Amino acid sequence: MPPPRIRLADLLSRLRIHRSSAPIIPIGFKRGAILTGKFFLTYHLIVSYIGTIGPTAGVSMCPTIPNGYGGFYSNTFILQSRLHRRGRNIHVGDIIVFTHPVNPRSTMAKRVIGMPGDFVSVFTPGRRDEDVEKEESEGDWGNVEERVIQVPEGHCWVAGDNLDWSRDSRVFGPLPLALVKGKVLGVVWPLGAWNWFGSKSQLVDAKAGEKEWVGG
Amino acid sequence: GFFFFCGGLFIRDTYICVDTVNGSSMAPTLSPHAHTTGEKDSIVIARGVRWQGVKRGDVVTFWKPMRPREISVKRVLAVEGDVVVPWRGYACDPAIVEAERVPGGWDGLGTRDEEAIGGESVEVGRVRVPKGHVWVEGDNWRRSYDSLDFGPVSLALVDGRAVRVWREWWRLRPVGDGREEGERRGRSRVVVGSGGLP
Repeated sequence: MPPPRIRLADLLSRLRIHRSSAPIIPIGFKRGAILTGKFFLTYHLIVSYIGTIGPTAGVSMCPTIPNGYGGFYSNTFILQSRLHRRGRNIHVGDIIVFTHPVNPRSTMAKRVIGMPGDFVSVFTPGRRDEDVEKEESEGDWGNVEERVIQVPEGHCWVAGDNLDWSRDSRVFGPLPLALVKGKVLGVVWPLGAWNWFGSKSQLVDAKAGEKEWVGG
Repeated sequence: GFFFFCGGLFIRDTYICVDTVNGSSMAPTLSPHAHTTGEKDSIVIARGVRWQGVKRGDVVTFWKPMRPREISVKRVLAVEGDVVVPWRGYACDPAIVEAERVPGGWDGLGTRDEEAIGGESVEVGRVRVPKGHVWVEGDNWRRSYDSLDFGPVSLALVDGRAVRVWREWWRLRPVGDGREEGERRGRSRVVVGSGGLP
């Protein structure tokens, strides 16, 4: 038996009359339960295997994924594609979502810097505590310790965009690709921070263009 | 039809799933005749391990650290905080233990601290299982590529726990341990820790 067509005028008239015995939406309890079950199962399929939108917190990927303050709805929401789980079609420059290798209950989002076989710099020459008071001068960055390793088979090297405030592969080492849950396709909320990466590569040719000095 | 599929998928992801054991690295407990007759056991795997925790002696399925799309099944010998004395492998090779390794690589070997008082902090032949990791080994030590080769495995990679074996069509037997007593005492020794790191 096809479900009865629900008209807005009927709903309003039911509300106005306020009959306690008549349901607002004329759907049986069993049908409602089955529909809820179907919705939940489809939701599980989509969220695990296709894609999902979820909140993020933290400054480690600023300014690409900004940090939201305040309650739940002012968090930054990102759209992630689950078609890229376990490292399918992931390339250098993609932002991935993965389970933390040491604390399996937490999930993180960082950018892939190296895939298996690539050479990556382990201690990126960033600012250290003793550099805070230093004036810029020639030859200073020559003292920064630098080491290069090759990313092992089946792993990747991740780093946040905000290197000073990012706990990434410099802390927990190469990340097994099997932990990758998805790829971030873009920032969807708040609308002012809309940023769609999609599938285009985010690599920039290092030699092209003039060098930009940051911070004056 | 579609919703039966979704329902089955949900149950497979959350509660329970059935899979076959292809290699002979867990003989004689699982697939004891895989290398001779090719007959493979099916195991019933319980999901949700991340929340229930893993104990020493459990047979678990986990994603291979070096091959991201393949699943492996082995037995957990040690959990976080335990010290393992392996009988072969990377931890027994002084060249590997004392060389500079991948920093932050959780291989359990520790890093040499030049400023430490009272001796060296790295020992050849002992691995401390780091936080959030487990040490897995196959029952068939002759043919097993396990933690002795790739080190402790992150708990996040662990996918499920094998609870029943389906070999004869009329019953589901618990996984247990198919080895004899002498073999069971094992080749890698585990020093049980206090269950957490200091």
